[in-house]
Amino acid sequence: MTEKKIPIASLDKFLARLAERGTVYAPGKDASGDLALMAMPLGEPVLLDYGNFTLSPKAFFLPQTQTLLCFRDGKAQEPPLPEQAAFLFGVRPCDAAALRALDKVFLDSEPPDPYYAHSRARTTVIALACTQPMPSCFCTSVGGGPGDAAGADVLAMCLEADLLMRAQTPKGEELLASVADLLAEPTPQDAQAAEERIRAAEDQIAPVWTADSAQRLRDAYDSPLWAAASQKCLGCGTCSFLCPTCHCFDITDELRNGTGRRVRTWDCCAYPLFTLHASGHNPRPTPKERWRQRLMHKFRYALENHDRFFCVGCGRCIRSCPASMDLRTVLKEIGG
Amino acid sequence: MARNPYLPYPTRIEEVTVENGARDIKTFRLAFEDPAHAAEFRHLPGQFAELSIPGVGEAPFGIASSPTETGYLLFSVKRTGLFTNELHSLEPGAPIGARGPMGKPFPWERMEGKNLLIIGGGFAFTTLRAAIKYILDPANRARFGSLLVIYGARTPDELMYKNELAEWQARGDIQVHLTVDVADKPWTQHVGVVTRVLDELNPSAAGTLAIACGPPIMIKFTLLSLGKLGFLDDAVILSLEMRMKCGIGKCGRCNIGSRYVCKDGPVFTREELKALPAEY
Repeated sequence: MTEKKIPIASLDKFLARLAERGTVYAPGKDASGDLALMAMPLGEPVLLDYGNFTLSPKAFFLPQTQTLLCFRDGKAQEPPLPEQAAFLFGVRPCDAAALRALDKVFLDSEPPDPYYAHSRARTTVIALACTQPMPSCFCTSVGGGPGDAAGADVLAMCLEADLLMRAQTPKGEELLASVADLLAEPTPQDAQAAEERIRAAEDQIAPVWTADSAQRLRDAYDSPLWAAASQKCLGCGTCSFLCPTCHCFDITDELRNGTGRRVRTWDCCAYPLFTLHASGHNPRPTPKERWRQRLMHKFRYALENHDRFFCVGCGRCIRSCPASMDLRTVLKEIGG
Repeated sequence: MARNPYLPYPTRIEEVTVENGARDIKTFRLAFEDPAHAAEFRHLPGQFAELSIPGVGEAPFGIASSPTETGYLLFSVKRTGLFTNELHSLEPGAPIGARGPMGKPFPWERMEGKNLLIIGGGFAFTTLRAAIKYILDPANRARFGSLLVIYGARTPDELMYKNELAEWQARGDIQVHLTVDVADKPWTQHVGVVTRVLDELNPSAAGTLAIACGPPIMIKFTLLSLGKLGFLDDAVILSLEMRMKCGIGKCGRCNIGSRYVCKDGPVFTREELKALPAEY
């Protein structure tokens, strides 16, 4: 596991080198002023001082709309896939961890998803450790941490004047080797400073009661709490769309004059149509069942199937819910 | 490289059989355009496939043909929604895609050497037909014990596969009891729900596995009757339906608890279902 450092003053040079090999995305502001991973060049300095992106980076791997097949003269063909490499710089550890969750579904479960696999293979993820968690963050309660970037190829950590960079995968090793001339050896003091910063960040994160969640949720399946908890839910799907681990999708066709495509789009278990049968029967007919499904999936079914939470504690669903719903509260109340 | 799991096999509709007077249940016989694909598509009764019409979409259907019927696939489809309406408008010669086979079949290894009780209702009889054809195949028949089939529909006209049902009733190695909710003039067989016939026949649960497919209300009462007859929960095999898209356990909508009907099912024992939330 290679560990190097680079002066923050040389970051632009580092990113420019990556740009010679593919498209580089780095923290900046989008047209509406939201913090986002923006394609370089940004026209302004790369941000290092931020909470997290409004949208999770899952769209780089599971786009909101993605062509699965092209139709020409009624025949189905595989679409051409982009070949160019992509580099994501500044992904937060929670969002990097979410990729490990998505990998479970799209790479490790048979059959692997060829489109996801392709995006994952051509993309290098450089995570940036968190030094300023937000009040809605709880990564440390779901198996992660501000300096734990499982799922990233490289973990970068901000020091006073340097970025410490640790390769975490062969792809990450290869990346650091390719810019070796820009990198220096870190000192033991650098490593210690990084540790201290991460510990300080950890100390700011309030724990959420996730222990035994699978068992507690199993016991609470018929709890009256679900009806109460779901009452505020508008079924808007904001939580799912922003969630870095939510991956449910719909498949629909578009066709005009024999030419068109089959496309997958993000879908959401909060929508009544999600499970509606052609017969009119719906196994999850009201917000109660649908909201229960959402929590059960993340904190029970995912553990049963993949031995991990399908929640990384990024807090987006809490920050952005228009009805101020908070899964932390429900997880606590379900404790019984 | 493995085949893209979203890419359907190109097939062509060879024959369309109208199954009922209302003309809203049709059986489609599909032949693969490429013989290599026909060889690749290896299914067992109980599995399903996603049929694909470009511009309309896809929908999952149980495979109604047995793998012993080589060279084609059968799908019996009731006209219900957008996709099935479009499918029903297709004529022989029309191209159509098929993805699969998907899901787990009936537990054929467990079924060997057992007496089999097959109970079906309405147009859910499709994969049961596949199972019966498979069992009756000369190469397979000796691997199984007695075969008792109870099949019910609303009216005699709503029974699918009428010619085959008559053929089976003329054979000695299968017992087929047909029943209808409402009889018409020429009907001489059972009248009443399938559970009434089941209770009357009173088959022994010893060394027997029961497979039931049908509408939820039929399943509900069939389970009660099977319980009374002494069938244990792991001797009762059911096949579920669920709204599906991908068919390969990714898109997330067909789950019951931690299991996905598309890849962990659609076949479950009653015992397996009891361990899951009743969300189906």
